[in-house]
Amino acid sequence: MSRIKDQMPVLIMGTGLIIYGLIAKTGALEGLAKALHTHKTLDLQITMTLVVGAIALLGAFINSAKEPGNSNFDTFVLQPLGGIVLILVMAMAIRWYMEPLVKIMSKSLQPLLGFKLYKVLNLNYVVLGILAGVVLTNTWGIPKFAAPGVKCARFVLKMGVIMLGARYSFAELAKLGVYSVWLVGFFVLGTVFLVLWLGNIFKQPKSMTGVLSAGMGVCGVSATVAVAPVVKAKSAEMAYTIGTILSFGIICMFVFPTIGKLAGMNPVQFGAWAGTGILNSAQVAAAALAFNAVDIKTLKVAEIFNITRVLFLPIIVLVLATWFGKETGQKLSFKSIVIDKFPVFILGFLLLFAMSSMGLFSPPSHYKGKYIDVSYNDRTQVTSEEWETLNNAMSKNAFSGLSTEQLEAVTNLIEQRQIAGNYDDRANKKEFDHVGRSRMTQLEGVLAAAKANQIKLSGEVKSAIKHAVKQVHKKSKTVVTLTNCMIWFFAFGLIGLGMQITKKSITQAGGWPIVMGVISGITKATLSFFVVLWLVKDVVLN
Amino acid sequence: MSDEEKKVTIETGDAGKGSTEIAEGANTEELEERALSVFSSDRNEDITALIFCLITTFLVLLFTKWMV
Amino acid sequence: MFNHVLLCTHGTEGALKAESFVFQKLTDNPTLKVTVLTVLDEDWRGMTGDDWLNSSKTHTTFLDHVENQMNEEIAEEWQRIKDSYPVADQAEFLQRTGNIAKTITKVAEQLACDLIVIGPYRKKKKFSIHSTGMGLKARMKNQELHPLLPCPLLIAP
Repeated sequence: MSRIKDQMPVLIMGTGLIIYGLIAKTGALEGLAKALHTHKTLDLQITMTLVVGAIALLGAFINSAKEPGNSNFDTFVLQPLGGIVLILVMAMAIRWYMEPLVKIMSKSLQPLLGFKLYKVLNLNYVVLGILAGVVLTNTWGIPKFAAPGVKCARFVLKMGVIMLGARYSFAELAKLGVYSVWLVGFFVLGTVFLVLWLGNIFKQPKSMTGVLSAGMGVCGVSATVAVAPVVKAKSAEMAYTIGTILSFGIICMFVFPTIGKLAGMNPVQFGAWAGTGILNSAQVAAAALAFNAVDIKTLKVAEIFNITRVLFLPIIVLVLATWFGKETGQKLSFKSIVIDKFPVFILGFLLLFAMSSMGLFSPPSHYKGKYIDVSYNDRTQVTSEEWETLNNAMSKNAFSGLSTEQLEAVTNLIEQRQIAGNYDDRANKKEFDHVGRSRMTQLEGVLAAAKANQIKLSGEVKSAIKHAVKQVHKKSKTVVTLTNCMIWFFAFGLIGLGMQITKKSITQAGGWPIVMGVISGITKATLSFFVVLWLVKDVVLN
Repeated sequence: MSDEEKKVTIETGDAGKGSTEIAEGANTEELEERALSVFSSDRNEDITALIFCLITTFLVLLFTKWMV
Repeated sequence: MFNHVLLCTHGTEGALKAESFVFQKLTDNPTLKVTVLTVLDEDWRGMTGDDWLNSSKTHTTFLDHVENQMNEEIAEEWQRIKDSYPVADQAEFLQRTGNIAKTITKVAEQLACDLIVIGPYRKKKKFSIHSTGMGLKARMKNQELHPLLPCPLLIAP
């Protein structure tokens, strides 16, 4: 009987999901979804709620029918199920309801406040998810039925990172890799030495400066956890350091994207800055997604920096161990520091990268799942109204300022109602494709010229040409779906990690670590901001 | 600390370095597991994550590329 | 009057008052048994925050280190008590981990204590960069403790 009681929350969530899915299936939610601008996701909503709901119910029934066992199925599926369903429900509620609601509310509050709240605080689903996790832990605490499932967060986040590997090209990885090694290397070592030097000035014990320097230098709490036993930190030192780093990191998560947007950083610059300046690696991912949650460019850059930092961590541990070891005479083997700490999932990241480089997800002619298709297709045609507009403009000689090639492209667009090669050449694919692409380039030139006010075109004509160009830009469904999976993984992982942040660990901040931490953290963030703006200007991702 | 307190050894899996000794009178309910994850070791976790990713990738490829 | 006193201390100013009260005022009674209890806050488990990069091994090493460190620091605390109050030699010393209010009452029940002594609830100290003593100096709200009490509670002024 008590087992059924334990499973009650899961049963309720499962039933709720199925009811929601069925209601959505009848089409009753279309009006609501349209108002929230989520109607495009309705199909996904139905599938996800029904599938997750069914699994939740099934699992809850099995769990309440049988004694909890020790088998693999028990530890990996049945016990974590409740927590997994809880996080999924939170993720779905946030993505489909809370985020749109926050947007609508902050839009209506705009006249009152003078700015859009969600834009300033970057309240997209990732940030909202982490906040929801933090709020849940610190108010009700993680419910008992969910505790084993919440532990899956790290696992799912790793899956997200592995999947992200599929989105890089060789050139990108090489270029970003070089940047990240230089920037991370410089700032990690710089901060470590800065903190050690500060510790020397303020005459603080070595164990404390050791812990703090690693935490401020590499990856926040993770580094603190790795270094504390090595430098034999005292408990108060650890508490202060972790508290300082956690609170600094959470502030960074909100402040960085806003500053980045104000400074007009591009995605690459912001990713590089977040990857260097923000301490905790989960918060780096969160800030990158907060800066831009739709396009994953920023996340891609930030994650490379993150991985570089992870690879730097053992080096720092080794350096600090030698620095500290002189006194204690304690020796640490290369194996215990580098091999034991090597994160195997990075190999998975590389495997997916290799698979993607071999063209498994999209042929090499496609650029990361985006490609241009100029073949004949009804769907790539402009609408008849647009055709009318273009035809009228042509007859009124509105295209007078265009070059001969541009004029030819426009004429052909009107003739064929879409961007394509010559009809007679359709057997010769190469020639056909070449002509079609060059016409597209010419039309893009027309749009650019109109934007620069070199020629005058009416808004309707411009939008018609824009539509025609857009129609031949296709996205590979495979890559789009893979990216969506990855974003869900990240959202799940970050919500779960948010649940690990307790109020107590944050409010522990204090003592000398907070002084030294704030000095070094702000120095690092400011310096890296300027260095990134100065250096990373020219990396273009496509 | 009273050293004469009885200790018991419990199995904690790989992550807990095999086994650990706790005081017999320890409040096990409050002690709870310390592990971060449901897996017994990191290698298992990473490899499972990779396998899951490959399965996801395969399914996505199957439904968006090979079957259409 | 009392037979078995449970003195809860973790080295803060308030707790020092409780110590001096027990060992200076209550120990006139030669049959009085004193148990000194130091509770380690369970929240140390949450101290790793949102760290997800470290392997479980690193994680366990860290928590082991924390535990050893705490034990060392607690042992020092106890030594300090023994040094300052010779009578404390006869007292028994105990260390537990968990929710503070629950652990205190549970231990009191288990040992059949008839009085619990704690330090006064102090206002939060103003920000100070001079760290003192152990980490995670836990503060407990008395209203959490009161409903659980198995025996009288004495707050040393």
